[in-house]
Amino acid sequence: MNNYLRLSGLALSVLFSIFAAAMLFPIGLTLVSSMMSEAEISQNYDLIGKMVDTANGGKDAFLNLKLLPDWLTFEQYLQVLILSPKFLNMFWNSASLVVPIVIGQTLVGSLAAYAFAKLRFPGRDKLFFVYLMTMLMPFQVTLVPNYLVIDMLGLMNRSSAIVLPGIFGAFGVFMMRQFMAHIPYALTEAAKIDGAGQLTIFIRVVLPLAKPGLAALAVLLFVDYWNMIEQPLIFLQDAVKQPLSLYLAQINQSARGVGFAASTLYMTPMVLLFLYAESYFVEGIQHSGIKG
Amino acid sequence: MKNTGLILLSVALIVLTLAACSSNRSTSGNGDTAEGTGMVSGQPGTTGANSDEEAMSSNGKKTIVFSSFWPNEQYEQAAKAYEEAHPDITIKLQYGLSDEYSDDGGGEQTDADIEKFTTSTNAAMLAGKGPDLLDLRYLAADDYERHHLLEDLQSRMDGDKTFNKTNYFANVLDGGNSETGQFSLPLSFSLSGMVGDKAAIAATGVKFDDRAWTWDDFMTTGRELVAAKGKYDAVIVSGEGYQVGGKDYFVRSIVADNYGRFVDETSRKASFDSPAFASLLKQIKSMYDDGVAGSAGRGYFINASILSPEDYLTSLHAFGDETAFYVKPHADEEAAGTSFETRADIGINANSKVKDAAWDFLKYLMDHTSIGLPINKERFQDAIQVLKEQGTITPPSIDSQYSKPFKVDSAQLDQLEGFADAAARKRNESGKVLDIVAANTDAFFTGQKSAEDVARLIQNKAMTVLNE
Amino acid sequence: MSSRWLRRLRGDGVAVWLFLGPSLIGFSLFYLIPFVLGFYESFTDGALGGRFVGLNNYTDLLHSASFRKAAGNTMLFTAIAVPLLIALSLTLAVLLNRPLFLRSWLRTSFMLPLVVPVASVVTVWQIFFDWNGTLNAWLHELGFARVDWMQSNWSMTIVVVMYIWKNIGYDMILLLAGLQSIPKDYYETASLEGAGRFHQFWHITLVYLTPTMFFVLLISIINSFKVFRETYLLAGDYPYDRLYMLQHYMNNMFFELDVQKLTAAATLMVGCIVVMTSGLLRAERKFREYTE
Repeated sequence: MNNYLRLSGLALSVLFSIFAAAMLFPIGLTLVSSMMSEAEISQNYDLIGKMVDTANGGKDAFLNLKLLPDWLTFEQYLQVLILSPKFLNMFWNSASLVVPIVIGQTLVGSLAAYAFAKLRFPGRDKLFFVYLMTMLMPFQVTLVPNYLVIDMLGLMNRSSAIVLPGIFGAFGVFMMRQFMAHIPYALTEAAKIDGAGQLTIFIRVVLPLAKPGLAALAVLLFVDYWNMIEQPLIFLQDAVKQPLSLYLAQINQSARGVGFAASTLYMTPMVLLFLYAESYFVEGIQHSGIKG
Repeated sequence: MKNTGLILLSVALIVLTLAACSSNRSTSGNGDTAEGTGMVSGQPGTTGANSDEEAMSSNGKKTIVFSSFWPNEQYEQAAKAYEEAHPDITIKLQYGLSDEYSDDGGGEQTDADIEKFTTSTNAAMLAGKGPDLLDLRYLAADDYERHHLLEDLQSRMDGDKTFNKTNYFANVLDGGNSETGQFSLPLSFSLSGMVGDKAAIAATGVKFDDRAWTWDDFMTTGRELVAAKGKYDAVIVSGEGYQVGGKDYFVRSIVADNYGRFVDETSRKASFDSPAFASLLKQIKSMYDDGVAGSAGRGYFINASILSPEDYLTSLHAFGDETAFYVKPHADEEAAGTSFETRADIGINANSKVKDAAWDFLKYLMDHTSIGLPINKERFQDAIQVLKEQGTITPPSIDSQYSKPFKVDSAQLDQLEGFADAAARKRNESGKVLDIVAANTDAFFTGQKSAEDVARLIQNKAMTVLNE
Repeated sequence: MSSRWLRRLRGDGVAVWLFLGPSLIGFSLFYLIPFVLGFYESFTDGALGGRFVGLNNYTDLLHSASFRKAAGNTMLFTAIAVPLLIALSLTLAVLLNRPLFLRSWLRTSFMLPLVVPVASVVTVWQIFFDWNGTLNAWLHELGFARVDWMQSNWSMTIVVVMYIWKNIGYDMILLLAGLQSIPKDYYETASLEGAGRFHQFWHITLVYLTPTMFFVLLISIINSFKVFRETYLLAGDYPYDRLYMLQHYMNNMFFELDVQKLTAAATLMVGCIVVMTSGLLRAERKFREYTE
């Protein structure tokens, strides 16, 4: 019996490892390709989106999936980082948009979440439902009226046109409420009996317990806003202010070689952040999911 | 552990304040430099939005915001001259092209700028803001028109006694006329046709009438020219001028001419899956297989767009010593005549607060700018006269072959106005359906997919577009 | 009036405003008001201050075959991809819910795709699904004809695969937490009573997982709307009609400046989301009452 279990466990592990490898493959391929030379990349992948005349061997023309570079080189990175100031500039733009959003939404979100999770007021559940709805709506839904509001506030073409709506996004409220609902009433009630005000309870009792939730939220928000394409396209007209996501969407088509290196650099902060905060992240996500 | 929350809170507040400050500083800094150069390089959405308040400023001065993607010296000169003549008017020019990055990776940046320009102008127009006057290049003029975002200029022209249509090439002006009115006026136009090697054609003895020929006539003539085995192998090379294009050039061109056969705009139906379209594709492919059309080198004819009088002579000169301009073939049901495109189409924002002033400036632009082939007949004559007096032309050096200065051929030049007067067909090769056609036919021409498969795919996507 | 209002708010009144205030102000400004404006505009004939035209825009919208197609495709995608994703992540979670060799590594690699930006891996998808791509190269090796993956009915399958790739880790983590919250002695009791593995899964695991499942379902639906970015970057604004989703429609309407159809479509979509979510929440409440 024991042997059987161990064997099936081993088989399962092998199976899983294969599956995990498949999951990691797109990421790995990007990483590996970023270390190929420009020439090698165009030799392998130039046929993307092209039609080769059957008169010139088009029947057998395929691009060449290459798992290992012939020659390890960092020239693409050099190109991206040193030779084109644009990239670093946009990297900075992305960071200066995303960091305030993440911090702001985590903060504003957990304040509101506390109200939804631990305070009693009329219409609470209905209001929360409204928050939930806007979270589900795709960006396109409020595109035009949003433009009007941004314009009315005189924010057009300023980074606050992206940052402010980001800070007040509903996802933070939703996620943190799910998490805080999980914190036992006994704890907050005990603090109340000790004479603590709501703010003290929030800061001293709830926030420290909600740390994994905050971490998970921060990572998820980071990913989401690091990825945004539509909002900056419409609300930031100056090319100098553009975030990296827009640049990358273009460069992937025009300069594939540099694209891989830029893509790798682009995903690196996300991946590092995730690996660093993984245990918190997992715990945070899990608590948000179990109904409190 | 206890203080985590507090620390987090204070850090957050500090970062927020910093972010807010830095973003404010950078925007204002940017504005300063732009103003410093005396040219507003801001984007349509933003500055245009402020124009309302400025337009109604207390001292009675009106501001017209005029937006164009490409910077244009003529616009600037006209604006300056107009401002001098009308001290109560200020004209603000804004351009969509960002010059910050023009030197590194120009093309890609331009594409990005165009997308931005379109998106932000669209959003601004929808919000009832935006520039007062627009150069519609890259903008969705049809959509603006459909949603009443552009001023109807037909009634302006009819109601304005100082506007005299006979001063302009009326056939070109009318070409921009839609059923519901006229929503933009061109400052300039171009003629599309072919430059042919007259001597080489004469040597083959093949006769044709280019003033009236249809695509079928052209194919017949083409086969005769190939059979004559004269100076060239191909009759015509795809692409325009020096730019040898892909096979999609003819597809676009021919499908555009036959658009009505495959797209029924009123019932919003496409019939690209009909045998007729597949056979048209096969016919175009046979043009290449029979050698009528080539995709490299030279042929008897070269497609050309005549952008200006100078361009006309340069094109004729560049492709041989004894050349002539020929009219482009047309579809069966179309009227014969030269095919033209309007350029520098200017529209007035229907939500503008200074429409009257904008209309007045637009008239001024039509009368006082000389861009390409000017719409104003007097300016047109002037341009030709200037060229004659100039005597020689130094063409821009492409491939260095023909960049030596050459003499102006007055006899040839005199024919140009005739072609302009005969302009009858507005060439319209843009549009989503044509883009879809052009993008998907390559698979057939390279032999990767059958004509029927390609036709089905085009039908599939075209129906989505038409039914939106 | 005001005293009744105050009484209704009771002790938490001031605190509610303190906590909820910042979020509520921003949320109203950037989400609620724009949505209400959009809703209003869907009944008028102009972008701004247009005439009231009743349901005209809605009848126009419903007459548009492309809109119907987009709505159908969106529903089809959600109906296929979401259950499939949940089933697969549940399988993974159940299998992974035991001591396993390299377990934490496996978990990390399943979750990593979640944090990888869309634009970074688009080229990899192209390498596989292009006309000259690797998948077709394999088909060719095996002697089959090429398939135009993105330009045929296969396209939706591919987007489903991309969606699952990105989200399986997230759902798995949520479900794992749900699994771990089920007390072990339930299974032991069932075992003693002679219930089989399948019976245990059906009557214990699934039943106790249901609350988590509601949350997973909600998150999966939100994320199914986000797959638009991948589709857009891969297939542009007019993809093969199987892939043409509501967001394509709304995006194109924006670029065609058709605010009327855009806002009407947005309102209808939000309406559907409201109905679906409230149904879901009601079902959840029923379920909880039933189990308690």
